[in-house]
Amino acid sequence: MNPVVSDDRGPDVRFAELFDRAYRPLLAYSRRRVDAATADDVVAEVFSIAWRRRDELPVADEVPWLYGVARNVIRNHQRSGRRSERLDARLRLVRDEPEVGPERSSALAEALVRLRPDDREVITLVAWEGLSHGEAAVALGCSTNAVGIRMHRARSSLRALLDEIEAEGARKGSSGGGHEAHGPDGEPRRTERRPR
Amino acid sequence: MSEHDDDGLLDAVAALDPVVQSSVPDGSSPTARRLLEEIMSDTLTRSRPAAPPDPDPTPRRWRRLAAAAAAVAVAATATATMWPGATPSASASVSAAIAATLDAADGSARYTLVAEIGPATGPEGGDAALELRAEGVIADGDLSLTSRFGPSAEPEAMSTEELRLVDGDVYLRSTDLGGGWEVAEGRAGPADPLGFFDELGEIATFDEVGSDSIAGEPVTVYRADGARWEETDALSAAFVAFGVALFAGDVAPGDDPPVLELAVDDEGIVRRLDVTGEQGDDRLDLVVEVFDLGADLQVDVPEGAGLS
Repeated sequence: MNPVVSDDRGPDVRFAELFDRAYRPLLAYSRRRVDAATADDVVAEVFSIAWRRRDELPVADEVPWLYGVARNVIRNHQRSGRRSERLDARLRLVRDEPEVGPERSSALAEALVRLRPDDREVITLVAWEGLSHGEAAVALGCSTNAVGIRMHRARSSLRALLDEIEAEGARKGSSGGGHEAHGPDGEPRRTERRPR
Repeated sequence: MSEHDDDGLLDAVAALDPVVQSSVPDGSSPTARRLLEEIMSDTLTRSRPAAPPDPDPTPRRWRRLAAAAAAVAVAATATATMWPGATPSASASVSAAIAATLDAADGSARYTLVAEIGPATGPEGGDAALELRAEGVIADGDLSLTSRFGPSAEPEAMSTEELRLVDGDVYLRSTDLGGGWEVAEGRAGPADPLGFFDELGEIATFDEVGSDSIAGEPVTVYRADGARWEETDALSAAFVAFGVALFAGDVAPGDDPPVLELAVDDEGIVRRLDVTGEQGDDRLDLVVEVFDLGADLQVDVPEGAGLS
């Protein structure tokens, strides 16, 4: 939870302080999802939007609100195809790095890639950005309780995928094959586990 | 890390973070200062941006909440499907009970709602079941609803949300966010949760399946198996009807139709609705109990709720 900012400051002062506080976490959020150059563009666009709407910034939830804006800006970048580098690719890089850690980390990265995008977003907002459920709710535009339910389901799906991947690895290991992380087209395989 | 991370899964995900935040430039970096100066020098663009399409998630949230509140009045929109084995007398008893309940309430009642969401096949990996508990007050189209949600085993970790619908305006407050009351965009129609019973009476047929007791009072239990419903998601419909529609979007129809039961007391009043279903690996059980039918109830605009 971010500290509640008193309302007696002008919106310009509030904005400058918000910029100082939120620049780094927003840039980190963006770099986790797009390449570094695009991340700079995203952050600039997010703060430009926030500046234009500085009179309307939610006093207690400014930073989670900015995450929500960043999420939409990144979506737009990805839709338009401009220098899009999806989280899948970022994770693929992490997974392929030899220093990433033990086998379980590699399997978990693969499971995260296979997870439904909405499930992945709620999990990473909490695990990577460190948002509370309430803050994630502001970023995602839903209720806190809905975030709780989404987290529950995302975790269940992630755990099931992790078990599946580890079982695949064990089978391939016993048959002499390596861990195949990608499909024939070089893209990570996706299994949308939970029909809705 | 983290919230309810009993099995360390979120910690493991956190360890996969591809960006070390401390290595990312902060707001005092030259690039950041240039950006800030550039943005703050832009004094000509105070109007809303043309893109992205919905950059502000907060109003969207409130719009959704307002829509949810509006949906309270709508209740279920199910399609009747006759079931050849239904007991006509049981269905007639339920219909009479529903009519008597609505008459007795005359627009005012209290209700409690308890929803449990958990693994369908028993506990797994420290993943505790989740619980939603809500208390509602219906007063001539107005509604007050306080809901708590979180893991069943950790009451202290539950978050609370409050909704009030007064004269078409929707007020919301979340204790998790620590803020005050906020006013949703738009207006909602009158709340009519008990209208869900009326819809049920029109679309479903019932069997008497046994007896039970509620607060020591005997009740007769009638079941309308979801298999008799066509393209109907009774779980979502019930969530919507009783004001916790926020969850309806997360409660898609399961593989098997839900089981729906009504409990009617000796005075012919519907006292309880119980809907049970499964979705994927989750089991969902929703129980609504109604009481204080026809009581002199009122829902007030929350103190300190300013119009936005």
